[in-house]
Amino acid sequence: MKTDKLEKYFKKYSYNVNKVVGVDPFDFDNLLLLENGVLSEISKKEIKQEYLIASYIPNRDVITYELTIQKNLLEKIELEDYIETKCYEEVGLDEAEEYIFKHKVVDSIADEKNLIVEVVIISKTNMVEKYQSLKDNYGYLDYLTYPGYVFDVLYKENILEPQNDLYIYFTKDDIFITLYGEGKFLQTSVIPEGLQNIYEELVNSIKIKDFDFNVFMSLLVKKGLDLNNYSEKQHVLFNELSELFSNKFLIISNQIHSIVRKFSLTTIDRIYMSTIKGVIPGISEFANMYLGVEANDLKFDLNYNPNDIEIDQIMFLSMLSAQHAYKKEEQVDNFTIFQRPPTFFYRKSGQLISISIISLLLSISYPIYEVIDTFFINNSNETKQIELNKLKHTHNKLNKLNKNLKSKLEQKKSQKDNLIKYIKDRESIIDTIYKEKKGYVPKAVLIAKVSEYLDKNEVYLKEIKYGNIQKESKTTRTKSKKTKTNINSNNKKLLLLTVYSKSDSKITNFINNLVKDEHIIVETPGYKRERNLYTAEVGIKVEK
Amino acid sequence: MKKILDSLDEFLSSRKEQEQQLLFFLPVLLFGFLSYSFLYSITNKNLNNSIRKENNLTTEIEQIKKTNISLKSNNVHLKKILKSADVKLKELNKEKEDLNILVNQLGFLKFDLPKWAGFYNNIPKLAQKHHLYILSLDNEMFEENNKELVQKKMSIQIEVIGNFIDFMKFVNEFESKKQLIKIESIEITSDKMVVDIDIYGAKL
Repeated sequence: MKTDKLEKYFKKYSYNVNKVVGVDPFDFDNLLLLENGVLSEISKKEIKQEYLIASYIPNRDVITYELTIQKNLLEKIELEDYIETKCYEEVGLDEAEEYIFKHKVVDSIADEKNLIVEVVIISKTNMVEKYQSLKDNYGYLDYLTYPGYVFDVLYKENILEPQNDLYIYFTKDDIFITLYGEGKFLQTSVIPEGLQNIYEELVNSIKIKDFDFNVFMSLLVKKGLDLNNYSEKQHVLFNELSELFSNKFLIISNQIHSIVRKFSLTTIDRIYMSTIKGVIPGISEFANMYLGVEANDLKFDLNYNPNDIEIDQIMFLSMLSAQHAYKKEEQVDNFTIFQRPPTFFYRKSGQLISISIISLLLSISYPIYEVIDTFFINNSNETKQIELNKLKHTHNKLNKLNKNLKSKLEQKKSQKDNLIKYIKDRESIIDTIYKEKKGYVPKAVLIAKVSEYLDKNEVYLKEIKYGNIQKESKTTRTKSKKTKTNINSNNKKLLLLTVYSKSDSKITNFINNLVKDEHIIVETPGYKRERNLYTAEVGIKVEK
Repeated sequence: MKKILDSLDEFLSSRKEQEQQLLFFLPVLLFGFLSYSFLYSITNKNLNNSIRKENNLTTEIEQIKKTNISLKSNNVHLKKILKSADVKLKELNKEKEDLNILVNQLGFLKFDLPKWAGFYNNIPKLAQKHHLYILSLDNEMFEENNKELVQKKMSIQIEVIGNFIDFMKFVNEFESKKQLIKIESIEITSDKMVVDIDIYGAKL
């Protein structure tokens, strides 16, 4: 189904050969649809683009011309140019006007040296005038043929076996006779005395109330030329009608004899006869009587017309011809100048528009790609921005926590340092106090101990001094009073004993006792003897 | 539309083949030029800006992620340190408390002017107790701001006459006290006995 749709868009033409609409050349609103081999009536509104529009040119709008050319001349000339030139010269065409020329070369005439070119000429101006409204309505006219050519399709579509066939068709304006020899077009002859002429002659002879042309046609296709169809009272009408048709058949007979002679035909195998409104009952007997051959009904729509719609057979055959022509792509007999344009992609304007659109799309495709890409990147950026904001928020929190922790840590460190300092200070104080207390040598105790040794060695004390004693100085009292004494300044202090004895050995023993027994460091400069008494200054280092 | 297409068909059909080809090539050239000149420059600039922004954002995100990981790790580390610091502080505070208790017990070492005054005033009684006669009694107060331990010092000079042994007992009375008392100097002669005593007021 999708393939069909695609095919529809990409095939060269939009028509469907199985759907042909026939347009009545005398009334463009009279339409017939041949869809898949079935005929039906159709209105103008129902026309679809896929329908092939077909019609035929009435004989009155056609100029036919028969041109005899020598066979040997055929190879030497451009036939189409020759035909046109000849036609302008011999038919008396208006040189200011454009014409469409179609021809059939007939090579089966009695004269073996020559051949006939049957030329059909149509004025372009007339065609535009006549079919412009049709074109305006439907947009185009796919197939426009000449009535004489329509029978060709009967052989091409194998509806009839190729034989020598004669087609006699009564239209309102004329009677046209077309001859096909072995399936090939030979000639069309138009007798300009059609049904209108017969009607007028009839009403001139017999006065019938309300007997207009339409009533006449109804009478003709219903009762026709069959006496059995008429009441006794109507015999006068029948007789008159028979006479009129006899006259016409005499003319037709003469035309046929003339044609047969020209084409040296031995026989006419079949005659087909009808009118624009249908077959005339009893006309076959007339044909047999005047032409010597029993006539068949010119009615080829039996297999296509299940609803038995009243059909102009020429219109039906032109529809079949159109279908065949478009199926086989044979447009030789197509007179239309309002051809359907190709589908969009096959017409130059479509191609230009397509190229323009493709160029436009291609040229904007990369910018569009960039725009789309930008859109997606921007979207992604928005998401990333949100993520970044969250991360920044987290970062700020972490940073704040970090600073807080660092600050706390600093505080703790400071607290710790302070505590350590405090503890050290305290420890130092305690330590110092301990050392001071433990290291302090009680002077009273020391002096008492020294006194014991003095007594023991019979050494007598003259003077005791303790303090920062200079050897030369007698006392340190004043100095000690005024100096901010260091608590540890004892190291430099000296206990200076001025002792005397009768014997110097006693003083020595005393010193030895102090040094050996008490491990006291003693300094002494020596003895002095004064009046049998030995005097010595003994310096004791008090602190360790 | 039909009329436009028909007119265009008619126009194109009236042109030569080369002119038709030129007309067919014209939109390619025109749209290509317009697109490149006007659209592409804008869209490309926008795209590049977006890509640049994306790269910046990506880099910033990566950096901030790394920083955050580092900060998290740092914070965990800091919390651990803080915890251990708390433990250490607790220990130190305990130590401080213990020391304070100890230091409080050494409160008697502090400078205490009334006590010192009492001590000073008690010297004559003490001398009398040891049968000594005071010739002179003097004192002087020093600020010891530079010292670690000592806040104040009172120097007392006592000049007495009496028995040597009594004097030693008298001196021993001072040296036996629990305060920080030091004998700064002693001078014992046949005439007199002088002792310089320093009493220290500790910073506690």
